[in-house]
Amino acid sequence: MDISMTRTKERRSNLSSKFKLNKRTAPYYFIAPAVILFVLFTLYPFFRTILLSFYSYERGRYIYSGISNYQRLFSDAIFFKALSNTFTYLLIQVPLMSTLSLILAVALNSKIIKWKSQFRVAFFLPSVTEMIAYSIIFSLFLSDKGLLNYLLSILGIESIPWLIHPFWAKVSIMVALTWRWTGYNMIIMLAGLQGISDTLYEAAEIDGASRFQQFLHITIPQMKPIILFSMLMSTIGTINLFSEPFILTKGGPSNSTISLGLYLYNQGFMNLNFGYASAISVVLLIITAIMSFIQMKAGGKDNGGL
Amino acid sequence: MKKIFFLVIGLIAVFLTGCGDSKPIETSEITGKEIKSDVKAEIKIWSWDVAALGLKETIPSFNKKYPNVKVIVEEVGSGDTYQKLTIGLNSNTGLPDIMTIETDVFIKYPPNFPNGFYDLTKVSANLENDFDPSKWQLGMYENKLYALPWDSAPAGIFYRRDFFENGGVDPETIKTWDDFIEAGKKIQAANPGVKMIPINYAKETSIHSMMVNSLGSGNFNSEGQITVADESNIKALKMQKRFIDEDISYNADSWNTLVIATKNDEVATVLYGGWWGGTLKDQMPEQSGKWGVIPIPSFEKNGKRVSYSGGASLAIPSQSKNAELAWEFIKNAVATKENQLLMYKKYDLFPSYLPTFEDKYFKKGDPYFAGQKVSELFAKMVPFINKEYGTEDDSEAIDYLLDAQAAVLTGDADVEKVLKNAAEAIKTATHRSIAD
Amino acid sequence: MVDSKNKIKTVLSYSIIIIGVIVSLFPFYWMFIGATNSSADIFSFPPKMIPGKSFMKNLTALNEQIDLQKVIFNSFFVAITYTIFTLTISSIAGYAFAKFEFKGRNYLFGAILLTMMLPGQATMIPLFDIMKTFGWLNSYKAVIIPGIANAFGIFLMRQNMLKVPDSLIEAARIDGCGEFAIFYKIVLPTMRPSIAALGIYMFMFQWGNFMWQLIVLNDSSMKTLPVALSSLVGLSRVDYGQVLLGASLSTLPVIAIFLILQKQFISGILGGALKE
Repeated sequence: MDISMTRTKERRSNLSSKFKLNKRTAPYYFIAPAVILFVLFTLYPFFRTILLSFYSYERGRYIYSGISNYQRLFSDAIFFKALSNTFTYLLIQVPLMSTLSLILAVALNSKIIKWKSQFRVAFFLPSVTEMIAYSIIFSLFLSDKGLLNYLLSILGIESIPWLIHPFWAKVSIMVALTWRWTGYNMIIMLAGLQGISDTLYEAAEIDGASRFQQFLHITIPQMKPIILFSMLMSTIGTINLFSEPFILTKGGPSNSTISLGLYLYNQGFMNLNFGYASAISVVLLIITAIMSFIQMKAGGKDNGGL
Repeated sequence: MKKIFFLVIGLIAVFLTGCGDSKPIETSEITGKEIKSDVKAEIKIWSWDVAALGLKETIPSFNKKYPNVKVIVEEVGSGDTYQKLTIGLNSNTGLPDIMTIETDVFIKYPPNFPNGFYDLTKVSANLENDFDPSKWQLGMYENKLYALPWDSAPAGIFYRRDFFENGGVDPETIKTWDDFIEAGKKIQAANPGVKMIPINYAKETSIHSMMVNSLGSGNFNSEGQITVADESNIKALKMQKRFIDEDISYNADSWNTLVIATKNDEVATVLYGGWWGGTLKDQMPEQSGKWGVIPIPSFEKNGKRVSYSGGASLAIPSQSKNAELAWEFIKNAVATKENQLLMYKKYDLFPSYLPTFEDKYFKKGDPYFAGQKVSELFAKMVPFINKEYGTEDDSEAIDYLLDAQAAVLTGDADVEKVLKNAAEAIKTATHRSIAD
Repeated sequence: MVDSKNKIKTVLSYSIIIIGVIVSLFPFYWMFIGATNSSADIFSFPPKMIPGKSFMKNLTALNEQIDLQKVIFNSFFVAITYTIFTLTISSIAGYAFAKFEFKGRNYLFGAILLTMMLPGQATMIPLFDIMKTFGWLNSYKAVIIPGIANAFGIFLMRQNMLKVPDSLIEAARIDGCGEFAIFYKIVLPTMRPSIAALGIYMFMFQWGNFMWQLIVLNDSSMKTLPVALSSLVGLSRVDYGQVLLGASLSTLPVIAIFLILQKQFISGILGGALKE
């Protein structure tokens, strides 16, 4: 009698130990909530979007259309404009902003500067501006009779057609983006700078290196992971750019500022071409993945242990 | 872990198979059946700024007939309305009983969402002749009416009396666009710093549309064929190009710029719908007495001088659980003289319900316009506005049209060529044919 | 020689910074000024740069249009609830990814990272369908729950948790501490800066999550501040004074939070110590 009872107990405790919270099972329990939510609300819509990209929305029905959406994409002039605009922003605005952030961070990090905290807050603020405020303020600033042209007129310079001319409209978008995100990136860079050990600089000083040489050979290499992280985030943000063109220029004039994200939105919400919009999303995702991959490879393996 | 992975994939597959066609909704029609006056219910309406306020004014008269019906008017920004509309129609949920939709935007929804709105044909049959014909047409799809017109926006040239006087131009002498251009040169010469007419070269096609409509055309014809490259469109775009060549126009690149320029005495005329008067009174009260209105010029001598720009309609989404009551509310709000007059008096929403114009209010002079009987002038135009034929591809057509317009007005493109290219592009995107 | 070099550097550094500060802050200044002016004044040219007298008028008018108190409360409620949930789930998941070996760990983490690159607009419609299926539309559930499994949050937490010494955890295990207790009592307290940083990010994100809130919420009693403000921007009559006042109000909470939690935010981003 005793032996069988012990055996049953053993069997029961074997079963329950499978589900008990211990070192082996803990990770599964811990990630369960995140994974469930993730599958339901991120993965599923994502797969559904991919599926929809092979359909065409006509007169209220989704009709299977194979790769015709993708074929259409490859002869779509506006798509290519959006693509070229995105790359323009990527190749000009992102490096420019990163450089600016770094310079500001170095300036702010200097030992001679006081009121560091206060300055930090001031630089951070633009990134938390609420969308509607941001849109009204900048569209008023950049309008033909707006503040910027007024300032220029005081300096004796002619009005610039900020939002009117295709070239200046692109500039306006980049100006707005830079205003919004430089401070944010600067703070990231600043934190990175403060993580560099002083002894490195002292050693270099003793060896006779100039400030500039120190910057090149100590600061930048030490900052590499941070700079890369910041640029990666900016890249992803720029490829997915939506708010600025949507608010300031609606992609115009003549699609000179349209971004992939805005084009996707227009096709889906304005033209009600849901299948086509899904195809654009898929392409967008592929581009982002490729660009991120390139950046991470270019940055080397030492990148946060990914 | 492998097991979980497959489970996840399996779940996803199950979800995915439940995609494709959404169940077709039954055709919903308003029958106009008798409703007990003591019925208890709640109806929700979406509208924006003054339109919302206007609708609220009509609630008391509605409650007189149905005292136990609660009417809630929700403010939804005009831009936001379309997002919510698209999603709401897509998922067949989340929409109110009545929606305010700009008339020329409405037309793309019925084709894309069959049975998304209630069919109003039966109960509105006797109302057709009492409404602005152009607006009525734009609420129709496949010979059924889905949206009832609310406010019209007859187009007019708002002009600055003082600038015209300085230039020695009598507004009554402007009958064609040629006259307009000549007048513009004189007025600009006599008023330094003033431009004759603001146009949004690259971001809006409202002026182009007004001109094309006055010539009896639009983006599509009654058979759904593409007409953006037809004679009327070519004429309209060429005329705007002439404005630039003769240097009488100003690029008002946004609403804000237009308002600021007007406020700062930099434009001699503004070409827009009747509701611009409301904006003038609101934002530039100090200019009272300085403005007047004349009908838009025609292209040929004795040509039509009537067009429109804007205006909204009311529709009942098929999701509504109180459709018959909603119809009663709509009828009361926009198909009665009293309420249309009320909304006009208080909020400058120009009625599309023609019988309203019989009221003596339309004989009154408007002090803002130096006593001119502006209401009467606009009222005379409304019944003659040309019908337009919209389709579900309107917004794509406008995209390409805007591109063409920008290429001509900000570049040096050839009008006929770009319009033809636009028509071809629309053809590729929408599989429609081009009208000859 | 050294002194004048230093002086130039100081002047240069300060100049760059001050210009940067002016550029960063000027639009805010202008927004606050606009909040005190009437709509017509905002449109004047040359633009007005000094406070006007319409603050109270704008405030009362704004409150009439949108129930300010309710709307601000709603925004806070949504943002705070969201932040708490996200922090909880992100930190525990991040811990698992950082400190445990389990099958498929790297693939799963990679998949999560991949979704950081998804454009929001793309998945809006399918996600809305799911909300409808669950019956969550027009409720705060729809606003908060979908975004809780936030890829960025899990990433940040995992990066920061990598630095927790394994020995600490092992010692606790040997002492007989349960897994959850280890997480809660030992690991989490060392993560304060990261939690603060992530908290600020998540609060900011949800506070400004305008489009999704717009689409999913219908009742005006549930509207959040940005959605309410958007309804004020109508077709032809916009009272910019009111709108700018509302916009100013919506910026204040985030500014306040950042002011209070600055240090933690910065150190949390790096998972490192902050030198001052």
